[in-house]
Amino acid sequence: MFSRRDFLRMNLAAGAAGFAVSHPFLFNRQLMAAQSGSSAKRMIFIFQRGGNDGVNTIIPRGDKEYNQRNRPTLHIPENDALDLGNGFAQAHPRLEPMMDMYGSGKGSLAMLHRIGYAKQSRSHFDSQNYWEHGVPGDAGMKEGMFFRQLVEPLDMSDPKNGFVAASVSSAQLLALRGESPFPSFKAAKRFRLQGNENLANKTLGRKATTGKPVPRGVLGLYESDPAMMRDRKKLYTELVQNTGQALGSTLKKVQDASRLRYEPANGATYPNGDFGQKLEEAAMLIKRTDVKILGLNIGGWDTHADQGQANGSHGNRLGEVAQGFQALHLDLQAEWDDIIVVTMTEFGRTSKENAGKGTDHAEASAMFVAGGGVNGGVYNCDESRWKNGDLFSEKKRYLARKTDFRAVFGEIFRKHFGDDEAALEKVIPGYGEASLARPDDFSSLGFMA
Amino acid sequence: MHGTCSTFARSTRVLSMKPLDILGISLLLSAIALGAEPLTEEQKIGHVLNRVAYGPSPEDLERVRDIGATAYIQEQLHPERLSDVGNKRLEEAIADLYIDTIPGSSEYLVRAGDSWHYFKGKVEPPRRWCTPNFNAASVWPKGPSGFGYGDDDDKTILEDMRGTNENAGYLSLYVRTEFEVEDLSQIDNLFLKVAYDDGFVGYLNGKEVLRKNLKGFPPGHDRPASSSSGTVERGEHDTFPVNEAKRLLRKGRNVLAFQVHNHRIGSSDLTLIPELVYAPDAPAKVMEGVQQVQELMHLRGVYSKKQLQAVLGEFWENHFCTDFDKVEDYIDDLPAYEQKQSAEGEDRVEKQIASEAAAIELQEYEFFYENAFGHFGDLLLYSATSPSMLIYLDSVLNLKGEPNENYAREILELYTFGVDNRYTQADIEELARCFTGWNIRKMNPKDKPGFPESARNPSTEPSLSVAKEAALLDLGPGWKYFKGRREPSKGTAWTKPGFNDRRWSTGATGFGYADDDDATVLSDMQGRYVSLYLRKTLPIDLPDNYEDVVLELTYDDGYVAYLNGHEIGRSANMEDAGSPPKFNYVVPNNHEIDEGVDTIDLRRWHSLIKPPPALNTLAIQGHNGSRNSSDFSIRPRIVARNYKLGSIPLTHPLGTWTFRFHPDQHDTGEKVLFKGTEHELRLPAGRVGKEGIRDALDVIDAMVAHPSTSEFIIVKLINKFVSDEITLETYHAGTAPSDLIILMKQAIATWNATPRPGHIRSVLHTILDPVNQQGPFWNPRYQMAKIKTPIEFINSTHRALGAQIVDDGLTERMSDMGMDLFQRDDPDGYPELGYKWMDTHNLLERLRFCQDLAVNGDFSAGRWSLPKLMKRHDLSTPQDIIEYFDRALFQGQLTDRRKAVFLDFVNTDDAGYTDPVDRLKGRARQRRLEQMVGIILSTQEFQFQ
Repeated sequence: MFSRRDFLRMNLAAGAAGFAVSHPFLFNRQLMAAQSGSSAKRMIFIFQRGGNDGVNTIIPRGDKEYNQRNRPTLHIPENDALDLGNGFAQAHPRLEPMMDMYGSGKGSLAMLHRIGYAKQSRSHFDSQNYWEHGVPGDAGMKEGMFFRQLVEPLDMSDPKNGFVAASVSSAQLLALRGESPFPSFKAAKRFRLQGNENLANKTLGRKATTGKPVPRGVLGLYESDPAMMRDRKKLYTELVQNTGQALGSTLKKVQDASRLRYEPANGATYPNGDFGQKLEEAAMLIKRTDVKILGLNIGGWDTHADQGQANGSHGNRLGEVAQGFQALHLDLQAEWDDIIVVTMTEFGRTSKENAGKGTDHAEASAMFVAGGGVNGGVYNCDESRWKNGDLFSEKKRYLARKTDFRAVFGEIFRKHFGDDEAALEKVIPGYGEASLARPDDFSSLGFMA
Repeated sequence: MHGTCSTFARSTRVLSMKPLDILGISLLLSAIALGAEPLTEEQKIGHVLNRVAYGPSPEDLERVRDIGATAYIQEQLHPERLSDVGNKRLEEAIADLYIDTIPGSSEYLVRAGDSWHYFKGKVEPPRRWCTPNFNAASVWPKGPSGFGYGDDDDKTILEDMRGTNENAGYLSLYVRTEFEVEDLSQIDNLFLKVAYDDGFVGYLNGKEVLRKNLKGFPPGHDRPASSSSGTVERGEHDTFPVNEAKRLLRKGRNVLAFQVHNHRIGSSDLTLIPELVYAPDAPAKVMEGVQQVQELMHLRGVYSKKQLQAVLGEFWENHFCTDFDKVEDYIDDLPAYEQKQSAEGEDRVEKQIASEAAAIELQEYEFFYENAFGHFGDLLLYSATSPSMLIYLDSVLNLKGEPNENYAREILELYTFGVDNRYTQADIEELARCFTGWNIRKMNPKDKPGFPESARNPSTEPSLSVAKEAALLDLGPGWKYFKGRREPSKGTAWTKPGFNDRRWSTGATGFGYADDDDATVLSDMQGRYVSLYLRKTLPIDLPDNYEDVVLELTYDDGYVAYLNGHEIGRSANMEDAGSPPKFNYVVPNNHEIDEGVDTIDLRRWHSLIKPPPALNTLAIQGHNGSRNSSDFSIRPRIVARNYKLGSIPLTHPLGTWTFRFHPDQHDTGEKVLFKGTEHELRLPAGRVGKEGIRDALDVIDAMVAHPSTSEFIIVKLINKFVSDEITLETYHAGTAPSDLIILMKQAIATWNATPRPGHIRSVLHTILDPVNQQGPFWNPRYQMAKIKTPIEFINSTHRALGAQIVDDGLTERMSDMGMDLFQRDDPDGYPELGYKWMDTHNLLERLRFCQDLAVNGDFSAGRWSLPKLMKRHDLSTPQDIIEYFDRALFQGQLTDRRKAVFLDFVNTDDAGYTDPVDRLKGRARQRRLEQMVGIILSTQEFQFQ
C-alpha cells in the first residue's frame, strides 16, 4: 500500500534524478492502445564510433582545397577515387563493393554529405549521446531515439513485443536504451544458459506453466516482490527486473532463430571479423524473427594518427562497411522493399591533416542510407550545395553542415515508418521548433522515395 | 521492523548535535522528507563492505562486525596501517604473475637436441648416477633431447613409458649429459630453461639445483609427480635463474642430470627438454602480457585486506584510461623494432613487445594504486607523463606547428574539468600547443629518476646518446674488394681468414658510386653488377674502458657482414636473401644512407674475436636495390662508445619506457588559457630549451586548483561511493537531491582546505563520513541502489563464496562482459555507473558466471568448496545455506518469496519435477546444493550494492 510519504518520495526520485529511470511509462501505454503498430518495415543502423572522416569518404573533388597541401598523406588522387556521376563528388576507392547498389533509381544507395547539427560538440561521448538520443545539447536525455520510435506505437507490456529491437553488441546501444530493455547480445550463438536444455530451462524458470503459486528460477528472482516494497522504490529496481524478464522472454526467441545453420542468400559474403559476423546475425534475425530495429557498432574511426590512404586503417574500415552493405543488399533481396540500412557517426574530422598523419575532431560528416525506399545518389556534395573552399567553411577549420541529422532521421521515420508530425515530435522531441529555427538544416533532402 | 519511535529519537539527537549547522539541518530535512528509516547496524556493515570493499567476504564481514563500521572505514582510509604480509593466497598468486626471463643475449652450455645418456625408471638407477664420477657411456643408451612421448615435441621417443596390456610401463626417466666450461669467469648469470611435463629434479655435478612438481629426497623411481599443473605447452619452456648453482661448475668437464616423472602411468604425454644457459645480464621478472596486469587487479580486489585501496586503484586507473593494445601497436611499428623483428624473429620480438606494453600499463597502475589516497595533482601529472597516456592520446605525435588536439581535449573533458565545464575549443587548441614536444624514450632502469622528478625535469635525450666515441677502424685504405659479376668463391669461403684474396682489388672505404661520398668509386657498377664483396684483415681489441664496441654500417641498399667466417648481421631488407645471398641478389626494398645506420654489437661476438696480436677477418657483401640504381654505398667502421647516463638501446628488453621532453618540437609562442575568466593563465613566449616543459606543467598545476576539476572529480567519487543521482548538470542546475548537492559543496571545501588542493584521503573522509555517519553515504535511500559493474560483480561473487581465482580465468569472464581492463578503445574509461551495464547480454553473462563458479563447473570462473563453508559456519540444510547467504549478503532482508524460489530450485530435478534434495546423498546432494548457491547469487538483489 502506498503511503503519502512513499508517493512523495517516488516523485522526488523521478524529478530529482536526471536519468529518471522511472519515467512516464504509464502514459505511453495509454497512448499506444490507440495506434496500431503492425508495420513490416525494418531498420539496421550502424554506428561508426570515433567520428568518421567524411571528407575522405565522399570526396569533394570539386573543392580545390581538397589537395595534397592540406592532406599530404591522406589526399586520394583523382584517378584512384570512384566516380559518383555528378562531376563533383567521388567515393573512397575502398567503397567499391557498395557501388554495385549505387545508382539513381529507387531501392539503391544514398550517400549523404555534410550531416551534423548546430553547436556541434567535439566530444565523442556527448556527440554520440546527442545522435543516439536525438536531442543535441541535452545531456540529460536517457532514452534513445529509436527506443522512442518503437515504444510509441507498441504496447511494451506485451511480452511478444520484447524482441522488436536488439543490439548485436555486448552493450545495449544508447539509441535503443529505455525503460523497457531491449535485448543485446554479442553473438546469438552464445546467448544461452549453460547446461543441457532441461537444466537451462530449470535455471531460467518456466514461468506460470506449472500452476504453482511460486515463480521459479531466474524469472522468479527477477519478479517484483510486494514484500520488498522498500527496495522496489530504489533506483534501478525496475530496470533490473525488466532486464531479467526481457532476458527470459528473448533467450528462447534468439535460440530458436539461431538453431539452424544460417546460409546467406544470393551468395552474399560478409566481411571477415567481428563486424561482418554481427551483420550476418542481424540479417539472420531480420529473416527469422519479427525484429524491427537492429543496431550494431563498428569502431576504429578516431583516426588521430596514421589514418592512411586507400589501404590504411581508415580505408580498411570503409572497406568493411562497404562489403557489409554489399552483403546485406544481396542477402536481403527478398526483404529489401521493407529494409533500410543507415550509418551514423558522431562528427567528421578536420579538413587539414595533422602532424601525426591523421585528423582531429571536427563537424559535419557523411552517412550512407540504403534500402528499398531509397532514392540513390549523392546528396549535399555537388556544385549547388558546395562552394569552392567549403572544406573550411566552419571556423576556417571544419566542413560546415548543410543538413541536421534529425532531418535525415525525420525523413526516414516519416517515409519508412510512416510517422506523422505528432509522432515525429515524440520520437525527436523539439523537432518542430528546431526545424522552424533553422529551416535550411531541416529541409528535406529527398533521399527517401 | 524498526519502530518509528527509535527513528525519531535518533533524529532528535542529530538535531541537537548540530543545531546551528545550516547544512546539517537541510540534510536532516531531506532525510525526513524522504521518509527513510536509518540503516540498521547490520545494514551499515553490508553497505560499507559493498561500497568501500568489493562486497562482503567471510573474513571482512567478521572484521567489520568486530571493530565496527567507523573503525573499518578509518583503517581502509589508511592502508599503510594494514598489512597483507602472510596472506599466502595473495602473495603466491602475485608471485605467479611474473616470469623470469633472460633479458639480453645468452650463450648455451647445453642446448635442445644435444646428446644425453638415459635410463628408464623401471628400477632405481645406480646410486651415483647424477655425479661426474659415474660412467654412463658404457651402460646407458644415448639420444638427443627432448625426451618423452605423446606430444610431438620429443626427439628421443619413449612410447613404452605409457604402458600397455602386455607392458607395465614406467613413471620416470633419468638422463645425463656432459658439457665443457673453458672459462668460469665468463659465466655471470646461469639459467636453466626447461620444457617439462609433469615433474622433475635437475642436478649439476651431482647436486640438486632445481625441482618442480616432485617430492622425495631423492624421489624414488616409482614416485608420481605431485601435480600435472605447470605443464608447459608444446614449444615453450620456463626459465629458471640458478645462480646459486654457479659454485658447482668447474673448469673442464661438467655433468647436467635430470630425473623426470609422470603424474601417472598411462598419462597422455611426458616431456623433458633441459637447456643450460649463461648470460651477462641478471634475470628479469616480467609479466608476459596484459592478462597478468588484469589479474593483479582482481587478486587485490578479491584477496587483499586493503579493499578501499584496491577499489580506488581500479577507479583511478579507469579514470586515466589507457589501452594496452595501442601501446603494443605503437612499439611494434617503431622502425627499430621492425628491424629487430627481422633480425631476431617475429615471435620472440612480439613476446618482448607484449611484455614491455604490460610493464608500461603495470607501472601506471602501480602508481595509481600506491598513490590512491594522495594528491589528485600527482595522479594527473603522472598520467600526463606516463608513456601509456603519451602514446594513447597521441602526445607523441603532437609537434610544433602541427599540434594534435587529442590529449588536450581529453585531459579537459575526461580527466579534469568534465565536458564543456568552463573551457572552450580555443582552450583546447592553446593547450595542445602547450603539450607539443612531449614524447617518450627508453631508459636504463637504474638511472630512472623517481616521480615527480621524472615528470618535472625529464630527460631531453633520445634513448641512446653517445657521450664519448673512439673509432677503432675508421674509413680508410687497406680493403680488398671484388665486383659481384660472379660468386667470389664457393659458399662462404671468401669470408674466412685463410681465403686467398690476392687477386682482389685494393681500395679504401667507402665504396660506391653516384653520390660523391665514396673513396673508391665503382664507376662501372651501374647497369652491370649489383653486389660488391669486401675483406679486411685487422687486429680487434675490445677495450674495457668503453661500454660498447660496434661495427657501424652506413649502406645503400643492403649488406651481410661476417667475422672470421661467421655471419654477424645483415640489413633487414636482406632477411629473405638466403645464406650466403647470391652475387646477383637484388635487394627488394631500397635503403638510403640517410635512413639510419646499422650497428652490430661486437661484444656479443667476443667468442669469435681473436685478441691481439692475432688478426681477424672482417668480410662484407653489399647489394644494390636494382641493376640500374642511381647510387650504391657501403661504409663500415668499428667504433667504441660510452653513453650518457640512462642510455639504453631503444629495443633493449631491460629498458624502461619513460617520459622525454623534446625541446625542438615545442612551440615556444605565447599561450593563453581560460581567456577572460578569473582563471586566465598566460604562458609567456620564449620558454626555449628545457624551459618549454613548464607550459604544460603550469597548466596542469592550475587545473588542480580550478573549480571545474574539483567538481568533476568529486561528482565521480560521489557516483562511485554514494549515489548515481547526481551529475555535473544536475549539480549546476540544482536539480540533484539536496543532500548530494550539500555533500558536493562540503567535499569541494575539503578539496580546497589543504595547502595543496585535491588531497584525496581528506575528500573521501568527507564523502564517507565514517564518524558522524549522517552524510548521504549513510542515507538509506542510496543503500543497495547502485548496480555493480562487471568487476564489482565478479569480485563480489568470489568474495561471497571465499573462492579462489584460477589462473587468468577472471580476465576471460571480464572480456565476456565487455570490460577488458587496461584495454579500452575510448578514453572515457568504463562506465562507473553500473546501470549502464545492465542489459540482457551482461545479465546473461553474470548468470552464467554464477552458475559456473557455484558448481565448480568451469576453471575459468574459479574454485570454491561448499562443504568447507558449511563446516566452518555449521550449516547442514538448504535452509541453513539460504539463511547464511541472506545474512552475509543481504542483511537478512530477503523475503520468503525469494527464499521459496531457492527452495523450489533445490527440491526439483533437472527436468523440473519435484525431487527433494534430502533424498539425495553424496555428490548428487552436493551438486544440487551448489546449484542452489548459484541461484542465490543470481537473484536480482545481488546485482545491487
